[in-house]
Amino acid sequence: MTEPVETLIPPPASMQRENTTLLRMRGISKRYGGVQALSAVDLDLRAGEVHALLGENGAGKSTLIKVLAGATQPDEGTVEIDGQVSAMATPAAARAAGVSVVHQEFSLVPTLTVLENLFLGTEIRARFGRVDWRAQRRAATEAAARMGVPLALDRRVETLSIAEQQRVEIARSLLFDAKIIVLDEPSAVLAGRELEQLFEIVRGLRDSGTGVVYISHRLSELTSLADRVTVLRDGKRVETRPMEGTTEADLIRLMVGRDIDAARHDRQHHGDVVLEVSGVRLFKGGPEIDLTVAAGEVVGIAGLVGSGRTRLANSLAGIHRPHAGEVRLCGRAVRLGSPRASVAAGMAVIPENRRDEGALLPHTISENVALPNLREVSRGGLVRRESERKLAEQVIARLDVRPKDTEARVGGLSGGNQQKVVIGKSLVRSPVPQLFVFDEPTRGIDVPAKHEVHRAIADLAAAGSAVILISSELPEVLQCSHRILVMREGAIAGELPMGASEEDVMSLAVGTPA
Amino acid sequence: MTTTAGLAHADTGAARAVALRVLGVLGVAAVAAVATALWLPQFYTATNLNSLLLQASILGIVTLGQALVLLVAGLDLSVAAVMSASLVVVASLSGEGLGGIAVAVLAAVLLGLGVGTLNGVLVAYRGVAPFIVTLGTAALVSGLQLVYTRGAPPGAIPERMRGLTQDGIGVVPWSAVLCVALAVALHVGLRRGTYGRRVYATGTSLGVARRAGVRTDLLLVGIYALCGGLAALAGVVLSSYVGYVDGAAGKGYDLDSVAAAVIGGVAFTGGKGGVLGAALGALALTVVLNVLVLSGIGSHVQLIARGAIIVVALAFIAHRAIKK
Repeated sequence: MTEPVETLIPPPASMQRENTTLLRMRGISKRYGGVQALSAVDLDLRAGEVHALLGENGAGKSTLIKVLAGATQPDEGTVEIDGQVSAMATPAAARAAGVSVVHQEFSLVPTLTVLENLFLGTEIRARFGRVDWRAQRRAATEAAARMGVPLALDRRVETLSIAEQQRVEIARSLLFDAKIIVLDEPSAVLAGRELEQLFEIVRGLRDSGTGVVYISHRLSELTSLADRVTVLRDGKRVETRPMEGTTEADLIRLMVGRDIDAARHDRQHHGDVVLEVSGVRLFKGGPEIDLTVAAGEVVGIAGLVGSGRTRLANSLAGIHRPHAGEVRLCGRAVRLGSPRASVAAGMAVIPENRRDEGALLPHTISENVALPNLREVSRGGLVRRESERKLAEQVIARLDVRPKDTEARVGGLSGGNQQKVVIGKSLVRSPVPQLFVFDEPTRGIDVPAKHEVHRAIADLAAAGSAVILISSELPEVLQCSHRILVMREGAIAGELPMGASEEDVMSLAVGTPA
Repeated sequence: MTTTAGLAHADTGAARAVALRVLGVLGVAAVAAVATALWLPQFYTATNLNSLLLQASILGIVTLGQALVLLVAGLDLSVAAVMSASLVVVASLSGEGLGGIAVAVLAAVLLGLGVGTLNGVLVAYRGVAPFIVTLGTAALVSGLQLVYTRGAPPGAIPERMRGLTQDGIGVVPWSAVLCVALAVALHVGLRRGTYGRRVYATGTSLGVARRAGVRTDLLLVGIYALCGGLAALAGVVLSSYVGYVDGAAGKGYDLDSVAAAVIGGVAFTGGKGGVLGAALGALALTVVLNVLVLSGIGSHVQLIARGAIIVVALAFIAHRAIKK
């Protein structure tokens, strides 16, 4: 980085559009605890190529990118850049090797100007350690020219639109001479003309010989923008193929792929309506949501991350206050924005984030179970240890928590057993909650625990509670639900009956007809 | 399952480490006490033990409140200002009659509850950092006190109030009995009561507590109010101890109370430790400071030593907490 000015001059485009392979990832495997996030994944990236990386939530895209960015180390496999094996031991090493990742969350300092941000930590120095502003300005102007869009170098970043901030991030990659630029869902935050400009920038990068890994859920833009596509599913590479001749329907089929277990639930008569949500806006100025869930019914909610699923759960829990609308439980209006009111009304929301919102890790199982049940286990303001222990034993017996020790600390349990305690403490509430909302109840837990959770969901519905099941795992939603609502951009994009296919769900979730 | 067992083991290990630390602190205090008996025989005179317990009881009462605030991951730096103001209120409102004293003490405690409530409201409902809030209210209280007294506090501490610190059972002053009674009552509330469950849950994870239906906002306000009230009570005891009107008598109790609580095993990060440990921490800190006084070190050097002890203790313990 001593002389970044020179490195910025783009080589003639003609030279760069040869099929030289910039990046060769081979046999990348990575395990997180009991979850095989990646198994033997290969990825090739050519110079002057836009390579789409596609897969459902949890398919392994993020892990693969983390490996490429040096943010995590693979258990097996090699990364070659320009024919040389790179260790990619740290983010700095990956950067030095020419890899840049533009994340969905930008890493810009809002109160500094664009120019200051571009060179933050990598300032060009003149004599006596002074910052050489003229050289920086020149380099930045060249980077902007290479992207084909102007950059307002002297404006503070906080005054820029999201699209402009994104350009600053991309320009920063160019300034340290990145050969490989990973764009993680860059289009998710853009619309209309800004989207067009982003595509122009990406094409410009490609034409100047940069290799672009492009992650997006918007299939329609991929078919026109990408040269090749690699599809991941369950941590494995399904296929890498040229985009030419590939349709959106092909992509969905590749992403979803497997046969679906026949839905196991018998169609049954559901009871009265328990939950009525009407006119709720999760986002300011966003679309209105209406939904009902009946007693004994399991309603699955699918959708991509960021589609509003968790916000819906948090609105029901009283953690998030929706911008409009009404929630009724068994006919009675529920005060919005108050977790206590939600609990008192008879709702139990099992949060997505077990560690921060579900369980008190340093506390024992019985203390955790007692927390929402303090009135039941106390007399005159004093906790009765015996009733507390009995309640915890109920949880342990009903969900098969291991170890079977009411005084074990929850932080020492496996993820699956922690989750059982989190579910169990609502399960034993009296009266039993009329509505259960499960937000990603089986994320990161092992298979036997998953079955326990699924059984608990089915039992609750059978016993007459209304259940909402939010999950990124389509097989789970399809298998456990009586009907499925698919969310997209804060709205309910559609409803599917039991027996729907993963393709049906995905095409609603990404907004294209399959 | 091996990892599970390992983690569980680590947890009991952590609990043991806490117990060891408390024992260690007490051990150090004991060794210091024995050494003192050899070098400083005047330590064990009735007069000294009495004044030691007296000082420990004042620090102990304010430390109880500080510990409560620390348990919910907060901090109260306004306790010293409240103690001084409480002393001034006692002096200016009470005559020699019992009724007057009662009114004055009540007024002082109400002042403390009021300041604490303000702290709690700003922390819980406005989301301001406890450190900033309580530094601000400390300045506010001291400023109001100056305006009210014009720099020269009026009145006197009634002779009758002095019994609280000058009389007692043997060498144990009534104020120490009061401190122990308060500590035991709070301990029972925290360890046996549903109140304690809500406090520890909130201190460990505000998110979990809220989702379980705990009114964490109200709980925080209550805790800060309680801390303010206890600080005011400590100020009342301080007025009885000092015996004259000093507008800055509470100076230093803010940092000392934090140090005592942390030495007594209360974690900065919330949810860990208890009030009995905090009270013992106050006793230990007082013993150490007492020995410094008796050893005849000049008062300026004493100040340095006092600061050094607090900084080292906090740095040592806080560092361990961060590593975890």
